Amino acid sequence: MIPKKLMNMLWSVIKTYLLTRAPGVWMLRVGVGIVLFFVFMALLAPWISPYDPTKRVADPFLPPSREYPMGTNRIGQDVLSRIIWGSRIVLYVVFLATALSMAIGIPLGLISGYYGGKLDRVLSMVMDSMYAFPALILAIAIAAVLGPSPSNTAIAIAFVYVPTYFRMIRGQTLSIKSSLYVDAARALGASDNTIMSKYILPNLAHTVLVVFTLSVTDAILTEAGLSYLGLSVTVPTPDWGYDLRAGQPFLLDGKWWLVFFPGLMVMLLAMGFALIGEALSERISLAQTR
Amino acid sequence: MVLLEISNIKIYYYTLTGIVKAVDNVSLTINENEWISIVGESGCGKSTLAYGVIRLIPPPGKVVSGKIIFQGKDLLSMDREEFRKMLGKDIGMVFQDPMTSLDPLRKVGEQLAEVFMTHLKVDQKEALKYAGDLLEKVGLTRDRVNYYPHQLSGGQRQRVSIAIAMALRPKLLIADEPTTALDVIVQDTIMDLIESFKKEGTSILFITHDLALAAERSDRIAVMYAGKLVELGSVDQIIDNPRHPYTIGLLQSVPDLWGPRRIESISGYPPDLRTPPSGCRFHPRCKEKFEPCSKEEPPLIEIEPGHYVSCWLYVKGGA
Amino acid sequence: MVNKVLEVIDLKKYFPVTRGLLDIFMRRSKEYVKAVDGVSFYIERGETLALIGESGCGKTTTGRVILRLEEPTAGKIVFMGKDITSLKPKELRPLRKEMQMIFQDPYASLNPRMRIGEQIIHPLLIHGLATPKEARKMGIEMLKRVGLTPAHEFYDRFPHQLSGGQRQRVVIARAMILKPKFVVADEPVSMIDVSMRASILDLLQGFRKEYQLSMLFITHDISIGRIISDRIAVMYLGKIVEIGPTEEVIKNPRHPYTRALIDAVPSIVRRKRKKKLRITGEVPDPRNPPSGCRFHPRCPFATEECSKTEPDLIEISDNHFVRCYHPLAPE
Repeated sequence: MIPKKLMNMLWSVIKTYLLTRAPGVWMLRVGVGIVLFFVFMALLAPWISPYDPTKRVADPFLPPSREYPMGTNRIGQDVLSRIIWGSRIVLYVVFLATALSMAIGIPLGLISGYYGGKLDRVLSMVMDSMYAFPALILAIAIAAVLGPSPSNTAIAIAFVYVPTYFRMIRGQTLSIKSSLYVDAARALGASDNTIMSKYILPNLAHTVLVVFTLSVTDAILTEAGLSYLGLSVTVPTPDWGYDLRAGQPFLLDGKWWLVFFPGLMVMLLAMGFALIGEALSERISLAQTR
Repeated sequence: MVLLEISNIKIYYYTLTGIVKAVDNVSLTINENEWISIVGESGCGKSTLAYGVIRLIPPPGKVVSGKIIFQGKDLLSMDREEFRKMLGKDIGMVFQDPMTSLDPLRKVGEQLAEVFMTHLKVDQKEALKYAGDLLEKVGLTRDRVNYYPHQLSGGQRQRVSIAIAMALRPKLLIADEPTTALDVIVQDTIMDLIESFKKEGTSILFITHDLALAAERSDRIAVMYAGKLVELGSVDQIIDNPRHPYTIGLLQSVPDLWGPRRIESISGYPPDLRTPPSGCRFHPRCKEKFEPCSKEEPPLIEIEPGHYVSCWLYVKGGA
Repeated sequence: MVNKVLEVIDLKKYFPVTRGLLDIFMRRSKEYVKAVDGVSFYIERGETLALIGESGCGKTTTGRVILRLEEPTAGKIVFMGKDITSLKPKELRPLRKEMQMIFQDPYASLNPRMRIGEQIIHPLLIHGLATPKEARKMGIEMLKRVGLTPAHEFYDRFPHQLSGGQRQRVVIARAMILKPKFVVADEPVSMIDVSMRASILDLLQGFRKEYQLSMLFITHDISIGRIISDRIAVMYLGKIVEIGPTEEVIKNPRHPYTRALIDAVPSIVRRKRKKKLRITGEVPDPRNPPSGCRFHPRCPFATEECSKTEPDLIEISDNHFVRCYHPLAPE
């Protein structure tokens, strides 16, 4: 049976979520709602998808109807099913890419900012040159080299975002490093490791969160772009970006549903994360002005 | 002659977490050619009161009720334009941080000259001449007219702020902690400067947390606590014959180079003004509290000519 | 038995002024801010020395350099008989138990993401002086000692839930839990409300008696310095200009700057006095201190000698030193 303490915790989280009257809270709720919507969509795909997205189930180019709420595409696959299953790819790539870039960017930024010196200078130069590259081109180059697959796409995107995390974390580390409470910790005799883990890292948490939600938004659009260019998934795996590309030639023919629904999903998911990012950054700036 | 009359002023801040009763029913008069200091600790409402007079209360705050009459005119209901004109001409204000009242992107002389050009309708050349004169009057050299604020020291910037405030010889100068950010020797010279203006006829409303500073220069002192006026009187009355337990506590907590080597604290903490204590706001920390203190707010009583206290200890006939 | 807990000998700290590209190009010589320029003093066991001065005189830097939060440019720091001037961080760590710092800003000197109790016992855990369980007990005791009760409640709170005065008590608790021999207190009450300062000072005095603590009390407020100190040192532009027993220096200031400082301090008791010594001008740029005696441009008694060479600290009366060619006469 679920222990009482856990229930209480859960209840207070839900209460806070539903009842707080803080600024930006509606943005947060809508944003979280959207993201959760897609997460559930991805998780429950096998059960909620009306048809097999890889199989031809009807005549091609059928407009939206009761049987096929989002119509069918060129091959006769159900667009709705492809949308539902496509969410898996998008979320997989985006979360993997973000996790990778955080795993590399954050520790490097922390160490670079804390220790400074030659290490910092070298790393900063490397990161700055990576940063200077147009993100999409870099991602395309890497994906082209590695070959099309969702995991490789994730790696390519991660590569592009490492400098962003590095910069933000390094900057924050520098500023926290010079704060009085870190001086106090040094006066107490705390070791570098202690200072980094107990004093700097926890105070980075909220910055990380904000950068996370913002980079996730960007990653979604980049993923869509990459798969639009054919660098992500292989046929017949459903993917929003791929479907966008596939449906594009038929737009002028009046077959709007091939482009509209995938595009709408990309936009919605990106918006969801953007709202969360906005709301959190508002919260944080409020907290700083105490 | 009464210059400024503040009657039953209430200034509240309507925040997300509650209504902060920053100034709660305060009345005060300022006479011509008089230096009155409002003394209190952080959060007591003294700055809020000063900002209320010049109608600079930022939202979510507002003046809820009360009157502020300056030379017979009602400041709060005055039309914006008229008030703005009067502000430069008859009332001057100096703030704690001179950097906020000086534009960092413009030369000091220009900012000073602007005052003359706006109110006296003179051209820039003449205004700059006046500006130079005024800078000399406040103890700077004429060439500072061409300096930017960041090229001056803190004390010099404050002199410029005072020059701007006093440019048109207003009848009232409001100074909100003007020397708090300055070193003690510079502070002394700035206080001398303000005092020189008082000698020439300007009244001074001086806001400070430093009771000793107030005692050295003022004619009268008003003590505020938690949004309320607790004691008011001449300097000698307040210093030699303090009546309100908070005033007494405050006097004991101020170290003096020529006094005993001991200071006392007042126990407890200042209250949250969203939920102030019932009755007398000081009662939770007061050693002399008795029955009526937690029930009802004490009235302001005149215990000797010109000396007022808001404390149940001095209300004859009990609560 | 070492009686001098701390001795500072000719301590110097110069900060290089960052040069722009143009300066390097034009080969302008490096400029330094001579924040601390030859400071010497000692503090005995159980003694408090107040370091007084206006902003920019170098008093805060002196405190930081003594604790090796900044590296000294020159001079010696002798702590408990041991020369700690150039000890490496590893060697310095065990000594950090004995010397602590209390900062001016109670808001900024606490980690916003660590609980109060955790921060107070942190020093114990860093130096391995107690198990987490023991440390927690000691933390609760310390909270009671500094008047933050109910201790169990305060233990789990975060800094932003406390008022300024309460936070300063936490800072003091954290510094004192190791029972140090020496504490640098840098303006510990400047940001505290006036009516609460006495209780913070009492708290410090209490620890001082209990631990036979030596303290360097840094402040610009000479009235506060007088209450808590046995001796006073007055700093001006990186140098000590007068040092001696507190009551003696205050009653009989011998350096014109000290006299001017004392006269400028507002006093209720002497509010009707006529000020004796007024000086003009402001503290000069520490990058270019005046020649000879640094105070001479503002000194009403300066002579030609004063602008040529810098005077040394000379003992003018019992344990009372002044750096001046024309010290004032005693009252």
